[in-house]
Amino acid sequence: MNISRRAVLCFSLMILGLAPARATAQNRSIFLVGGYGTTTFQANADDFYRNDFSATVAPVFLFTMGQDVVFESELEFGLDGATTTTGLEYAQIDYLGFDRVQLIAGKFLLPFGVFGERLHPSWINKLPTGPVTYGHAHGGVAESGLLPVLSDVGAMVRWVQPTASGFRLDFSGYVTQGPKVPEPDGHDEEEEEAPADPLLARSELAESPAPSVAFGTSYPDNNKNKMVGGRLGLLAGGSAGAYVSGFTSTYDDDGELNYAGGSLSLEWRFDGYELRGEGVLTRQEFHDDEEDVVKTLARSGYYLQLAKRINDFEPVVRWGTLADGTAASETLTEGHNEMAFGLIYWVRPTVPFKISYEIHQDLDDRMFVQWAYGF
Amino acid sequence: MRVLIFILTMGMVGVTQAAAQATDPTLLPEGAQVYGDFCASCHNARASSERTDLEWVAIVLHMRARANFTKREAAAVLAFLQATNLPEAGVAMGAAGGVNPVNVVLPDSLRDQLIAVTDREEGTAVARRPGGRR
Repeated sequence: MNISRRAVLCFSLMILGLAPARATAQNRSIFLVGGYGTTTFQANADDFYRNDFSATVAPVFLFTMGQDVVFESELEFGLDGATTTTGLEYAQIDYLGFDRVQLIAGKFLLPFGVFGERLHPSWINKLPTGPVTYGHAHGGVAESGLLPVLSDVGAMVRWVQPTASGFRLDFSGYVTQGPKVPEPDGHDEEEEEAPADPLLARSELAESPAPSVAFGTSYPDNNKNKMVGGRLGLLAGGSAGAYVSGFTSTYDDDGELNYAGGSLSLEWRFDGYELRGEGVLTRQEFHDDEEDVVKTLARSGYYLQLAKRINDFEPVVRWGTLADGTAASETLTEGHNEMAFGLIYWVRPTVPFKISYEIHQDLDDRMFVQWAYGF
Repeated sequence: MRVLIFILTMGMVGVTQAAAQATDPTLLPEGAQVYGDFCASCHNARASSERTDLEWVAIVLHMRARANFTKREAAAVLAFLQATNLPEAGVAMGAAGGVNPVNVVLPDSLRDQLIAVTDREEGTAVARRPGGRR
């Protein structure tokens, strides 16, 4: 018997030796449905009067194979006029066989900032709307913010390093299809006269020479370039954390125009208070047809949110701002400020009943009542 | 020969780690700590009685990928959730929302039981009592 045969034999015996110890009920395949649902009432006045109820449901499907492999997927169903919208937020396979490293492939929420990956579900988000930096996502496009909640197709590796002193490093790196300019979807022009979101009414956004960019829609990929990004976090126990994120890619068919983003996220919990903040900046190259040159549109924004749990109630206040978008000292998109006040009554730990009032600069204020259910 | 030694060594490390994880007396307290520190940093602490022990296996795997836990931390959280899968624990943890369930929330009787289980079984994780969802 040569060395390699001995090695195979020893290895096989070891696996057989381990098998009985691992063959517990927890190694059965499991199928589980979770997720969340939301009903929202929104009211605002002035130019774009709204007085609407809406509903969404986002079921999460989990399939496990032993302790090391899980397939997870989230669908999104919502209302848009007479139609029901559907979306595949993520569908990923996770290999969890290593202690500190994870391998993930499929369509997944990108670890850019913290809100998009971990806080956006309506039963977790402390206000009925997302921060102004993320805007209203539609077909992978942020229609009024800097970015949508990012989700894309590719592969990711995650690594975590706890330390004895209570600190931990949390790293994620990924390669995905990347952004592209969305295809015209044939919307009726008349429908665009009354946009669903009053923030869309600002002509500055529509007239920007830099095209809107969509994430999670580039299949098949429109160019040879892939998006590369990552996030590194430093956490101090459960009380504080700081994350730095970034990505870079090209979005045009020729793979020549760059789109890059960066983010700094901070969180701090003390004495029942929770303070969160996130700053985002993007750089988008575009071709200026009038001057026949490539310019770079720079945009940035941030939000700060403070919440305080008082028994079953939780008051929340959030401040957000978008700076003017500029290219070569020329303002191309208008800045915007938002102030939101909210109050949550926690019917159950996963069932918040929220009331909020949002004050928007130069736009009509909005009032929301939202009942969310995490299940 | 080097290959053989390498494989033997890796195998022994694997066996040792598996055995250590199964008998580690710090697993339950660590699970409570991780649950309070990291799960509850994003959302309220869910009542452990909301799900069966088997369902918690799938949920903890899902959340391990989302929150980037180590394998040991995930095992500790699972052990904690299964050990406290009792109606009274569920009510207590559910009402607290977002705070450390062991240090602050669990009633004294349950905390004592948890400590007793940890001492008696050296943290083998799954405390079987009537009333919980198994």
